[in-house]
Amino acid sequence: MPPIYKLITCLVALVGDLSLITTGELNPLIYIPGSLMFVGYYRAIKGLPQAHRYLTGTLSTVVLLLFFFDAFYLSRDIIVGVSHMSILFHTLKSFDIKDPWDPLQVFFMSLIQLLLASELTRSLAFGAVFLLFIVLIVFAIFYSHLMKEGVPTVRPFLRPLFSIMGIVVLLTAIFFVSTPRLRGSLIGVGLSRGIRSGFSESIKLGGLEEVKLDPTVVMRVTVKPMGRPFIQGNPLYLRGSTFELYREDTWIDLDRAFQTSSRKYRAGPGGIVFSDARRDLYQEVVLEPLDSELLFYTGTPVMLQSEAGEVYLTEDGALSLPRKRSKRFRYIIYTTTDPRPVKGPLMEYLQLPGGLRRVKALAEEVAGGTSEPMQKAHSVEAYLRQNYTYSLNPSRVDRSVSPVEDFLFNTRRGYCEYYATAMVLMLRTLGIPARLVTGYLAVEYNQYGNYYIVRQRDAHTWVEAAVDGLWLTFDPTPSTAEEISRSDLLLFLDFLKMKWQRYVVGFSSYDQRRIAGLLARPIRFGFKAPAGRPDLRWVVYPVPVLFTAVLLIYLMRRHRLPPVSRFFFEIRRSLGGEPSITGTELLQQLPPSHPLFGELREFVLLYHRLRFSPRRDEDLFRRYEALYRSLRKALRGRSPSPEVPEERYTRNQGQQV
Amino acid sequence: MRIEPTREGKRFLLALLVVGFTSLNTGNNLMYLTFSMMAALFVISLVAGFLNLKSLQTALQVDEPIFAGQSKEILLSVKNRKWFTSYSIRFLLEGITREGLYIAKVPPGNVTRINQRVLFQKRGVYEMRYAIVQTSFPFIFFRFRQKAPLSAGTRGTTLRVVVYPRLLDIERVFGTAILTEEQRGRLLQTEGEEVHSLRQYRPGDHWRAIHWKSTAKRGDLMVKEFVVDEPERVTVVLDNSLCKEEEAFEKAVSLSASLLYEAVQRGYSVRLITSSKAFPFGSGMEHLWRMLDCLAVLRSPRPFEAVPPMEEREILFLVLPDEKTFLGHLIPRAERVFYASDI
Amino acid sequence: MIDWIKEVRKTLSSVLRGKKDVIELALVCLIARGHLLIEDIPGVGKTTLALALARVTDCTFQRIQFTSDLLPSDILGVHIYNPETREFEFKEGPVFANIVLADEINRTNPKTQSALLEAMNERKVSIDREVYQLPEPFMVIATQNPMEYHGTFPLPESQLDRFMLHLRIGYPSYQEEKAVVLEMRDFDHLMRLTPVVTRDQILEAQQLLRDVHVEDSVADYLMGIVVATRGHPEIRLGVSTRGAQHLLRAAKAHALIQGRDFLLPEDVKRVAPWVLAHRVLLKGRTFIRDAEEVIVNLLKETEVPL
Repeated sequence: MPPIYKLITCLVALVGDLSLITTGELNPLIYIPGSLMFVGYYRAIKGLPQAHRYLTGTLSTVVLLLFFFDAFYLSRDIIVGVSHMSILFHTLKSFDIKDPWDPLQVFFMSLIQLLLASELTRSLAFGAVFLLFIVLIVFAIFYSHLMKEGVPTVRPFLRPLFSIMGIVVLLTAIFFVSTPRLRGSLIGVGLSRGIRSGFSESIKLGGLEEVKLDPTVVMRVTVKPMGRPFIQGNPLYLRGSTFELYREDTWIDLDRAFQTSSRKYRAGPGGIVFSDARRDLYQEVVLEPLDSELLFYTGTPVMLQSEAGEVYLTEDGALSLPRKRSKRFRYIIYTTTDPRPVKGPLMEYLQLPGGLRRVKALAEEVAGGTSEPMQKAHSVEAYLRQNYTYSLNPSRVDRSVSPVEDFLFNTRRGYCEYYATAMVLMLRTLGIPARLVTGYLAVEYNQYGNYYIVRQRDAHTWVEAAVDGLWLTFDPTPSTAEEISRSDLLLFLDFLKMKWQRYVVGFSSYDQRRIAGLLARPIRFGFKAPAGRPDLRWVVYPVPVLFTAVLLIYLMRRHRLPPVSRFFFEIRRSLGGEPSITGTELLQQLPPSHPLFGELREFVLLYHRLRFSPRRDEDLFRRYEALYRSLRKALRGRSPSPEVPEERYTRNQGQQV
Repeated sequence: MRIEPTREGKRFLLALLVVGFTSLNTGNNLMYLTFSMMAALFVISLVAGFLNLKSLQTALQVDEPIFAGQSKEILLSVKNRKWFTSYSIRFLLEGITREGLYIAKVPPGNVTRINQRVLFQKRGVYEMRYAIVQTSFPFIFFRFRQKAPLSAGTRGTTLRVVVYPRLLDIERVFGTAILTEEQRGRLLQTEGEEVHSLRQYRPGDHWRAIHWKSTAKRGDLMVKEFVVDEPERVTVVLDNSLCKEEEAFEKAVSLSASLLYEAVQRGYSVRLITSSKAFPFGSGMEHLWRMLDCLAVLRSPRPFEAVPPMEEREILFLVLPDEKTFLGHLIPRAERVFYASDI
Repeated sequence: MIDWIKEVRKTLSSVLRGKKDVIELALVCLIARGHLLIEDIPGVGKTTLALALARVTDCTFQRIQFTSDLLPSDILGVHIYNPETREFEFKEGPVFANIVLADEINRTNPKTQSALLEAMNERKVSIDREVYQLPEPFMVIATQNPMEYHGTFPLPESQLDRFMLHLRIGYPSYQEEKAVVLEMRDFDHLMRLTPVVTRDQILEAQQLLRDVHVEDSVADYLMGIVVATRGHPEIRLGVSTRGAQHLLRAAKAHALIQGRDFLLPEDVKRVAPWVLAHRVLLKGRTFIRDAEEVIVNLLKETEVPL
């Protein structure tokens, strides 16, 4: 086995390990035995003696035992356990590279590692490793073919090798897009894991600091305005749910907690239609698996397009799926930017816990100057914004009072929930119906992909107040916005991640239909199957494909020969000359009295000169080409036999003139 | 064209099905990605292998004459009638080479030639209608095989290679020359009709042989050498009627061929008599090839139909595979009797 | 390039009626520095060709009639003792001429044959350790009776190989033959031919051979033909490497005669039957025209490079 083959084997093993390492799920301890692989391959490449059969056999058994211990006591995860085992096997095998079958086992093990990794991660890093793997595995199995044939060098094969690599990548893409996707699993349960935090029906004040630090990406949102002006990159409020009842320092979402007022909507042909209001914004959201069934959006929903067959929408705008998802979910929602009108009784939005006298006093003091509810609300918002400090770790000063009071009067520090809670309570004491809204405030904008990146730490709470018959949005939290400036490289990387998540990890049968739709578009117009006849439009599909194939083959065929040779070849063929006929012999087949004799003689002469003489002459070539064209024109429509009666020939020529 | 999956190919196919099912089941797109890659490798194996073998024309040329035990150059010409190059192709020539001939690259249009020295072990006729063209390009998953007509030369006929019996160095084998010094010298003598050449006078030459004209020119006595009008005759009789032991029989055939070869080379008029065929006297290589053609395919045992009569002026060599013989009566008459079992 | 070719051709065809091909091939042979073997029945103009060629090219001419008692020294020459100078003097044999007609070469014994063939091949004569250079240009035109004539010593294959071209002249067409018969020309007519080209011009032309450009695909075509003769079902022994060299030289000379300084596949195709036929040994058949037929068929099956 040549050293280079062993080196490739080593690289394939390395890429297999790498695919697992990049998942970040492994126990770092495994790197130590894993890196021993390099020693093994170094020995193999240097041609040092390989491990004995019994030794590797024994160690394999040990590794197997270790696996059971690991999977059931240490990692408590079968997949992680198998991953650890595969890395150990790679190391073991590296000391035992003897016959041609061994590298193949290594390749197979790496393939399994790739599959394991695809269960453990969704990250873009997997994509990079995967590409590397394709390149290496093509090279490796190609090399193993050469090994089998006993060819020592790969040099004469480099060109086909690279083209095959290209074709493999292309075909992989095609197969990826076209393999059918099922909605559910056939057997067992999906193994995917989601982000383990989210939105519940109740929020206890002061329990979300951790979330506010988490940079995990929750969703990516692309917004396109449809008529109304919209400034890309401005902060975007993505609504999740509303909370009405505040009791014992805890907000409770009544609609969700008691399943009231939510209406079920079923998918129609174009999607799920909620209302016939104008569509102002198009939002395309790719939502990571969250511990919540909520869907986020900005504005008031008009229509939803997604894989979901049915959704629930509450009166106050919480849009949710029937159940939580374990997979990434992609949806397109059309909304209107008009404020939602106030409907129904407002009692619940005026609910107040007891003992808020100080709060009421403060509210009245702040809003004292006006009687307009709108003015009052703005005053409270401005007061909170200007007089309180944003902080993620507001320590309590006085544990005898409620957290809101502690925030308002003692610490004067807090984060969005404190601000929003304070504002809602203050408005309610003033008699203005108000509610707490949770969701995300999207501030990070990626100008490479023109989308918002929403992270867990962008979770936000704000206020809606019923003023003048409309629910208006207020945000008392001062804009924390230490200007988020991320480097271009990071933004570009996130763009790649977004595309990866959207088009690879999140690829769905919906996307397949969309691609099929795109392909079908050219023939959607045009003709329609007559009534009562079978729809034969599918017949049209193979036509362009066939046409392209034939064209390709034809072009390749024609270009096989350089023009000088091709011209002669074609003329000879149309004169019925066999492949063994030389130029002069071709000429001798014609009688000198033939009308084309002179032209053909010059043509043959020039062919000889241009093809076989060491000199090159552009002028001669032009003349040659001209002769070729005129001869071809004259010969077309003639039977290819040279024994054609002359009169018939001239008649044909006459027709052409 | 026959397509058969290799051991690796079968396992790969199994893995492909498993991965395919798993990805369908989990709906994990990353697994789909791996599945797609495997499917791509699979499809490319099939398509590339198929295209690789298509439209190849082969022709085999063997440098004749061939004697068993001799290694000879065989030349394989391959013409690729496609517009793209074929790679990594093996040509299996049944009965001629075990591992076949390997060509790394056959560019389109042109004829690619490879040669290889091949040892022909056994005498006989090697008839080849097809070469088996085989490739597992580009990967190891499938083996594509196709019969390719071996248009010998450029004609579409069966290639027929005659391998003559192994030639033995008789003098080495038997320690003595087959023809005595006298027999060797008998060819050129100073009697006869036609002058062959002139040489210097040796004591004992007859005065009648002196060539006076050239003696006068050179001032030295010159004698004429004449060519004998009838060349000396050699008959090789091979008794293949009784022998059943293959090894001894092969040796006897080899021995007869060697005798014929040497005798013809020396300019004798030679004939061969076997139980299946008796040749008339003749000389020259063409005659030799004909007799060797017969020896190349000679089988045993076959009874003698009739032994042609021996003639007066001939050297008779009797080749017997072993002691048993049908031609015992010729032994006293023979110049020499060779027992193949002695070799 | 070679401006005198036309003139030579014209003159030669005036004495050798209806033999354009033979004249052309003889000229190819002259320029390619080869030797010519003509096999045919007597009386169809072999001698005429040789003599006429010598006359128009201003070459010395010698004719050797081969008989069974001809000795090597009768061809090559002998050392004669000169009593006056007390030294041996070399008396040149008839081979010391530009164009040598070796008539009925298969009439003589192999020893004499090989003496001539050696001189032909090496272009020099060595006698008693003395070496004498033969004149240039030097071309042997040997004639041979067809095999079916008895009492001959056919040239062995190894010797045949030394002739570049092997031609058959054959009868002229009926019309041409009738004209020849009616003209009643005699031998003197040939002697009256005047040279149209000098010996130096011929040597110059021979030098040009080296500059003929051979495109790679044409070389492949040539080799393809040579290789195809080996292992051909009807051929027992194929063309040797020397045969391939001769084929290339002859083809190049043909290109020169056509006024080209580059080789075409058709040059190769044109001369191949005459260069190759006598170099292959057929299975079972012995006549040269059979071999020609095999070669011609082979050419018909070989694709020319495009």
